[in-house]
Amino acid sequence: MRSILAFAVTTLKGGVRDRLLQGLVLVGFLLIVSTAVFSSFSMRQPLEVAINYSLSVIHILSIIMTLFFGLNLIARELDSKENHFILSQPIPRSSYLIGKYGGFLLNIFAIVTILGLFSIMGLLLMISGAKGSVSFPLMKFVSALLGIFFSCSILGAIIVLFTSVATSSIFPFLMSCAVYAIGENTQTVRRYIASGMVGKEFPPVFRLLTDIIYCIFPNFALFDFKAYAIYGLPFSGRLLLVSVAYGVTYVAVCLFFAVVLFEKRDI
Amino acid sequence: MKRIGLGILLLLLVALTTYYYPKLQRAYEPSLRLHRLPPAFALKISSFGNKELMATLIFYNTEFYFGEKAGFRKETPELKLIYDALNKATDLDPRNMDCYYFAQGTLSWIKPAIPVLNKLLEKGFKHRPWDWYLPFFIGVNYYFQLKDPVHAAKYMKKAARLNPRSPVLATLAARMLYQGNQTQAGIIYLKSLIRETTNPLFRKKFEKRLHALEAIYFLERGIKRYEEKFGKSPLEIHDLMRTGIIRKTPVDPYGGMFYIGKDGRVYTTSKLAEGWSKDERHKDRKIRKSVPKRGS
Repeated sequence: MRSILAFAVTTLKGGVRDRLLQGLVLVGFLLIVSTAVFSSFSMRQPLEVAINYSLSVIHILSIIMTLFFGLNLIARELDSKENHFILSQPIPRSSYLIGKYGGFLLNIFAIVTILGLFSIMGLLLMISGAKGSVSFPLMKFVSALLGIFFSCSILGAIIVLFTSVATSSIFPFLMSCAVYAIGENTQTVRRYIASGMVGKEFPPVFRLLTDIIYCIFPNFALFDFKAYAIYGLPFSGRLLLVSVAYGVTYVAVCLFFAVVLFEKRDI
Repeated sequence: MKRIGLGILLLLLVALTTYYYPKLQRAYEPSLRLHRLPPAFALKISSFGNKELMATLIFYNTEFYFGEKAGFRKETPELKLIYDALNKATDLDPRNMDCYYFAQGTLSWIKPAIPVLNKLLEKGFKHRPWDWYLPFFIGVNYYFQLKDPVHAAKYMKKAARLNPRSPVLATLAARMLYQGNQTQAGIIYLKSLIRETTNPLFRKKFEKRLHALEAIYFLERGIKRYEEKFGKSPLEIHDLMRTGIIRKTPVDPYGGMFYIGKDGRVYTTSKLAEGWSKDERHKDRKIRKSVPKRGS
């Protein structure tokens, strides 16, 4: 456990050393300014557009950061043989892998929190300047941020899984991008087929294939709580709990297979 | 020293080209088009979980197109493509009020567009059941364009129930129910829109229509006075001037000419319309050529 913690802290420090946080503060300022500019073109719903823009930018940035940071985590170290010394020590490989993932989670948490705080500041500034009484759905906004964090956590676990078998950093990058693209759309495609829009000539094999893909790949749409925050729609705590449970179990499964494969690997 | 001179020269060149290129660009740039978007399903997939942002971006693209086409270039925007873009944007995010508001602002003046516009607004009302604007818009479209006061009053009552504080809604609902003066109801509606809108281009559009309706209302009151005075209806607008009831015919801001229809009501050759399609615009031009006379 101590070694896991040590790896996690080292990974977090790596993020700080890479001037990640300084860069994020700059992005945060840009986010505040650009939110005000972007929402000013709205005719009837500037606050909704501002919340939409803030959450979408945080989502896109977090996914990009996850992809690049996740790859730096282990794959680059394996490429440059930096971690060979550590792995030759009498430390379980599972500790190394899980510790690294823990550090990655801390970094992603910092990214989402910092950007989220900047967004909330920007949105509160907008509301203070608005005419009439405007309410800001803070808890729903935080839930949407939590959804983004869980999406990134799952994507990070997938990167770790592919890294545990890959011999270069390109393979896990491409595979993770593919899994993200599929996972983000499986629900949409499945619902589209279920709606009957595809017609009777749609092969049943494809229908079955879509169902299999839906079950195997992560369903990122489950963590999309943006609409609740944008329009202040009624939000169920049970939905959040189910999503969190799904996310945690999916990450656990990915890490389990990653550890099994990484332990069998020749380095 | 040489480097500073070169730097200043380069800056001057940039300033010079920045000054000149907008003029050249205006002279050579092709006609502004709003491109047809792929199906909503494809847009949803390519948004990677940010369909609300994608819907906003489609709306902004449509809004900027309309602004540049109608406001900057003074050309007729392609309203069918505007509808297509807004319909797809609301398929991605059916709660995006900007899209419905913009659709009402641009398409509600064109009669052939009303069935599809009302369908779009119905979609909005289904997903924004708390928003009084949507039934208000649907009611207005039923009343003024489809001449269906029963449906109009049904929606106006829904709007009044959602916004009980608004005196305008209650007044309009009552007028629609009792089939009162349509022009007066239109003036009330437009004044409420002008009060609420923040967009200068839309405000200009609403004010133009308000001026036209005020002119029609002015003529309608003239006809009423003529009927009271002479016990019969005037055949043409000129009769009102000849008898001294009005001093001059008001100007139609849409470029048409006012005339009295067979039913005794005031019409204009412009139909107060901006084209939904090219065919419609041609039809308008043909009508404008001959001002119909009552009784002819």
